[in-house]
Formats: sequence, structure tokens, C-alpha cells
Amino acid sequence: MPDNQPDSIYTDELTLFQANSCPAELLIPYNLSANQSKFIPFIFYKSKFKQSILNMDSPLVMAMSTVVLLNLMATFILGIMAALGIAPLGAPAAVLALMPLSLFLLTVPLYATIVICNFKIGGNRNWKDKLLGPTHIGLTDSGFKLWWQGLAFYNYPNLALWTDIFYIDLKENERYGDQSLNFIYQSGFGRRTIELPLRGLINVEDARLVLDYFARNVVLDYQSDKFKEQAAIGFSDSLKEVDRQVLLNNEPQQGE
Amino acid sequence: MDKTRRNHREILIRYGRLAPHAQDRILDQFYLILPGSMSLQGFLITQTFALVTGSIGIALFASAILLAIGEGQSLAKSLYCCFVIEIIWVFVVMHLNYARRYREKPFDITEIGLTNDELRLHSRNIHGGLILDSFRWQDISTLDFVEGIVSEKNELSRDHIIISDTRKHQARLFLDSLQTIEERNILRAFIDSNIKQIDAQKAMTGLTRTGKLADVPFTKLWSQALRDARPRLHTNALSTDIRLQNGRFTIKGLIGGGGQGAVYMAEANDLSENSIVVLKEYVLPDLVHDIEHKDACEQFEKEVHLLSKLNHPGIVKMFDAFVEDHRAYLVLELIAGHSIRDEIQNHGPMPYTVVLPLCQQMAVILEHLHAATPVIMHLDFSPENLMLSPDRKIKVIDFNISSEENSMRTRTVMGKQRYMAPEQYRGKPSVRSDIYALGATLYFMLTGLEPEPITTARCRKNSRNAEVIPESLDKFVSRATALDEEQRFQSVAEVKIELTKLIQELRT
Repeated sequence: MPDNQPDSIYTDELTLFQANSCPAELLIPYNLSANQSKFIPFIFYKSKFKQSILNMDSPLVMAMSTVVLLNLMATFILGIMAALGIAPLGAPAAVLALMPLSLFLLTVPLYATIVICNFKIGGNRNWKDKLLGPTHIGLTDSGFKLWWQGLAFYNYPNLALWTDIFYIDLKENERYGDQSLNFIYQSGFGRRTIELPLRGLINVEDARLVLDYFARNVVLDYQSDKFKEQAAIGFSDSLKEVDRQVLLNNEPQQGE
Repeated sequence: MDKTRRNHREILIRYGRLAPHAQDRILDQFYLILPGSMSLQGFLITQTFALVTGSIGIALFASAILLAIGEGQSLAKSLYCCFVIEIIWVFVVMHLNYARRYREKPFDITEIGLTNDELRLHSRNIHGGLILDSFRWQDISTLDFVEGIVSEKNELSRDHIIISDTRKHQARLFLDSLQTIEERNILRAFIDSNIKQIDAQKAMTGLTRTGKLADVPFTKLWSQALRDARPRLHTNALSTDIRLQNGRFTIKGLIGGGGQGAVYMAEANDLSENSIVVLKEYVLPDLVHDIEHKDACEQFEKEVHLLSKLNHPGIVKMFDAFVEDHRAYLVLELIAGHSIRDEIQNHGPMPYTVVLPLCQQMAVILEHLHAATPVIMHLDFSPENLMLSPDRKIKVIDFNISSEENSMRTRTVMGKQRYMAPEQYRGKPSVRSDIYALGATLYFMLTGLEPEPITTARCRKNSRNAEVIPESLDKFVSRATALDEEQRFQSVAEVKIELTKLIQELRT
């Protein structure tokens, strides 16, 4: 078992959920360890979820870029005008022209600080894991979600409806050396591929639940032969592997 | 806290009308426009940044243009204009963003998260989610159920549960915001298995209250209906096996239909029982007809108010009311039997020995209505709306026309003019209008003939079997249907007294 709780607690929650089949959403924890490095840019580079993380913040990036571009354009025009002597630039205008850059320089670290605090307070010493991959997986009758959850605020940039998943497979993950659940789905932007290492699931029961949800909800024609084979034997091979990984992951944490 | 959040499963149950994960498809559509979403903090920072720097940038740009074309406009004026434009832009963007989703306020609870350690209140909107508050099960110090009541001013409060903990944090969970029975059951199960330190029985009992008279969630029925801008799912009468209210009701058949909606027989899948009920439907006008829509919703709510106040064996019971797919529904008890009209049409006029006991029952029902505060006038007391059970008990249905003046009245009473008193025609009904309708109904029961509109009913004059109708009863009906209000019975109490005398006289 991971760093964590007795299995009976999970069983209670799961039993309640399964006994009351309804439109509720089940969130199960997911944790990819960032043991490789403590350097944030490197963790981000190693992440399989770069696109998701970027999507989460892309509105901010877009807004900031647009505003900075607009302001730079204004500054540029003023500079050109001053250079050509069309209109003299006063000191106040020069100060104002510099403000956008200053604000941009302030806002970026401020936003980054808030995001990091949310993860850090919520995730303690493991907060960097949250840059590597999602913190929770959401399962509903209608679809599948990846959640990034911190202390106060959270997000789920990836959403795949069961009906929009048109390929699913179990593959060896080259980076982690274990199995991943790979699937392709149609999102608003086009086709997306998700590679979800099973080692992120913190116990066998959760892994079985996720795999069963996919097997039950994704159209049979869209399941790979390997996935179907595994589903037929209750994903026993995959679950054994998950169990082994869970034990391996758990050892250093228990020692601390 | 950390380990709890990170390593526990969490079950999210929906709270409020349009919870996010019930709206996956809408969410996906949103991603077509804006990639991903962001946290609330991120959004505020972005907008603040855009507001300040954008204003300055645009102002500088505008100033530069103005200077370049030789118009010596003041920089301050340009700055001010651009600042205003930017503010308007930000508010337009914010409004559109929220309007696209639920039209809920930014910090409304949208989900309740349940883990074995705590109960969390989530607020999720287009910009991401916040955990508004969390209550550890072991720290909960109060868990109380508060029953919704109708105040003297006719204001309604909703059934809710109050949760507070040792930190003095408090939250209210309104039961009508929990969307399905299954989700209620999950909440009950968590409370049952995790709260041991206090008596949670009252809250547990409260959570089982669904679809019962006292917890009618009609406080915001019409406003909910007005807020729903989604297109209609069904344009015709509902077919068999269609499910409403997330499966709480299953349509089993059509009982009847009218201009403003149909009446269905439905199976209610409540917590404790599976029973057959009647769903009386009102098709609400489209939102484009805003005034009519609002009028219809308010009229429906008035009927709900009225029925929820009435509790009499001779009056149809209302269990619940809800609005779905631009249609309003009353959940009513299923009454065995048929209407007085059907009875007369199938079996002919009734002998006076049968009519008089039924008339006594009708008088008792009217007396109950007229004794209410404020006085309730039925105003549609006619053979169609009087149900006769196999054990010869009368029940009155259809309270669509309330005692208050409203725009629906004229429309609703069309086709029932034969039972309307003259003053009701003039738009000035009184309790004596119901007495007129009672007299006209007696005439129909005794003769099998429709009463002439605005005419004093004379049974012996018009009936083929005049000889079987006692003269005293004929006089009784005539007095009840007198055109002049002053010559009519002045109250139902007087009707009852005269009726008792009449019965005694006929017995002797």
C-alpha cells in the first residue's frame, strides 16, 4: 500500500458509490512521482501532460501576450514619431510607455507564485509532482477527467466523453518502464492523445476501477486487441504490475 | 489535510440546478472557443492586468494617432475614454462567460464532495474550481434539519440542513438543490457512517423527505423556469416511459389533455415507495413572450401555494411541483373513480336520494375552502372537477383559478360558463359564486341536462322526470342559482343548514 491509508477506508467510499449508482462523479487520487529532478523546468519537460498544463493557463498567456503586444506597438509608434520629430514625447508619456513592461514583469511571477502556493500548501513536499501529472482522475457516467487539485483552487483541462474516445490501448511506457493506458479522443481542438501511466494510480483497487470504466464505456470496436485480451482476464497482468509499482514507489516514503 | 486531499477518493454529488459535470457537453463546446480554463485567481489577475496595461496602451496608441494627425487632444481625455471602454469590455467578457454556463453567481456551491474524512463544498465555474469550505466529519458539532415553512406573508423558506463545526463555520444545504434520490442517498450514507459524536437523526430523516407536501420546492419555480434558456426537448405530449426529474417520475400514460397542457399518469420512484401519481402539466410559453411566460409561471406558483395550504379529504392532495423543459408539473394524488360528468353521461341523472348526500359532501368541501384565511374561492366548481370515488366520496380537483384577480381567469373558465355566476362573468366573484356553481352542478346531477348560462335553474320545469324531483329540492336549487346575489344563500353554512332541513323533510 502507498503512504497512506488502510484499504478498508477506500472500500467504504467505493462501496457507497457503487451501491448508489447515480450521476455522481468519483474522484480517485493519481500521483506521478517527480523523483527524477527537483528542477521545475526539467520536471515540466519530463511531464507527459505538457499540453494539458499549458491549456490550463493558456488564457492567461494569451491575454498577457496580447496586452504586451498592444503596448509594445503603442510604444513603438510613439518612438517612431519621436524619432521623426512628428510630435515631441513628454516625460509622462515616456513613463507610461514603460509601465506595461513593468506590470508584465510583476504579474508573471505573481501568478506563478499563487499557482505554486496552491500546489505547495495542498501537496506539501510533493507539490512538484503536480507539475508532472494530474492529481486526480474523475470518472462519471458520461466521461473521464484529469484533475489538477491544489489546496484552494483546481482545474480539469482534459475532458474525454466516453462516446468521443475512439481508440484505447495498453502500452509499455518507455519513460517509466511500465504500462500506460493510452487513448485517443476527439476534443474541441481536434484529436488528443492521453498517455496515462498506471503507476500513478495509488492502489490496485483504483487501477481496476479505472480500467473497468474504460472497458465498460468505450465502444468495443475502439478497444485494441491487447486491451480486450486484458479485459477478458480482468486486467490481471496489468494489475500485478501496478501492485509491484505501488510497492516500489511506497518504500522510500515509508522510510522517511 | 494534505494526505486526505491527495490520497482519498472523493465522491462529488451535484448541487444546484446545473452542476458542471452534468454539463460535460457544454463544457466541451466551451473549449472550442477558449482552450482550457483557468483558476479564478488567474482570471482576476489576467483581467486586472489587461485592464490597467490595456488602458494605458490603447490610450497611448490613440494619443499617438491624434498627435500624428495634428489634432491636439488631451492625453488625459483619451486615457479616460479608453479606461471606460476597457472596463465595459471586461464586464462584457465576464458576463458572457458566466452566461454561457449556469447563470449562477461565481461563488455558489455547485458540488458537494464527500470523502471518509470530510465534506467539501465546491464551487466550480468556467474559470476553474474553488473549495469554498470543508467540514471534517469528526469536527461537526451541529447537523440540524430545518423544515421549509410558509410565513404569514406567504413567503416560503426551503427545507435545508445546517452544518456547523467546532471552528464555528456554518453552511446550509438546501434539499431541493440535491438533484436525485441516489445523490441524497449517498449523502445520507456518509452522514450515517461518519457522524457518531452527535445525533444526526433529524437530518437523516430530513434527507428522506422528498416529494411530500411540506417540502415543495416552489420558492423559485418560476424564476428557475425563466432562467432556463435551453431549447425545448419535447414539443408534443410526453410519450410513455419518458423520465422526468432525473428518473424520479416515469410517464405511464396520458389521462387527458387540454389547451395548456396534459395530464399524465406516472410512476413516482421515491425513496420509500414506488407509487402511481398524476402529473398535471402546464406548457409554459416561450421565453420570447416574456410577459406571458412570467404570468404563466406566476399563475402556476399561485396554484401550488394554494394546494399546499389545503389539507382536506375532499380535496386532491398535492405532493410536489417542479419545472422541467419549459413545462410546469403538479404532482397530485391519483384519485380512483371518475368525474361526476362521466357518471351522469354513463348512467343518466341521479336520484335525489343519491344527490343529497353528495351535495352535503360538496358543501363541506366548500365550507373548508371558504373558511381559509384568506378566503379561497374555487370558481371552477363543476361536474368535470368533482371526482366520485367507488365508495361515493367526492373529491374536488383543479384549482387553476385562484381567488385572486389575474389574467388567467378568463382563459381558464372558457367552456364552463354554464356554471358561472353572473358576478363572476362581471369579474367580481365572491364566495356566493361557488354556491351558484354548486346549484348548477346539482341541477346537472338531478336532470342530466346542462344548465342554461346565467339562468336560475328550475329542475322540475326542464326535467323529463320532474315528478321524481321533490318541489322543496327544486326550490333549493333555484335559490342556490339565483341571479341576484342577495337572494342566493349567503354562505355555505346556510346551505348546510337548509340542506339538513331538506333531508329531514324528505325523509318524513
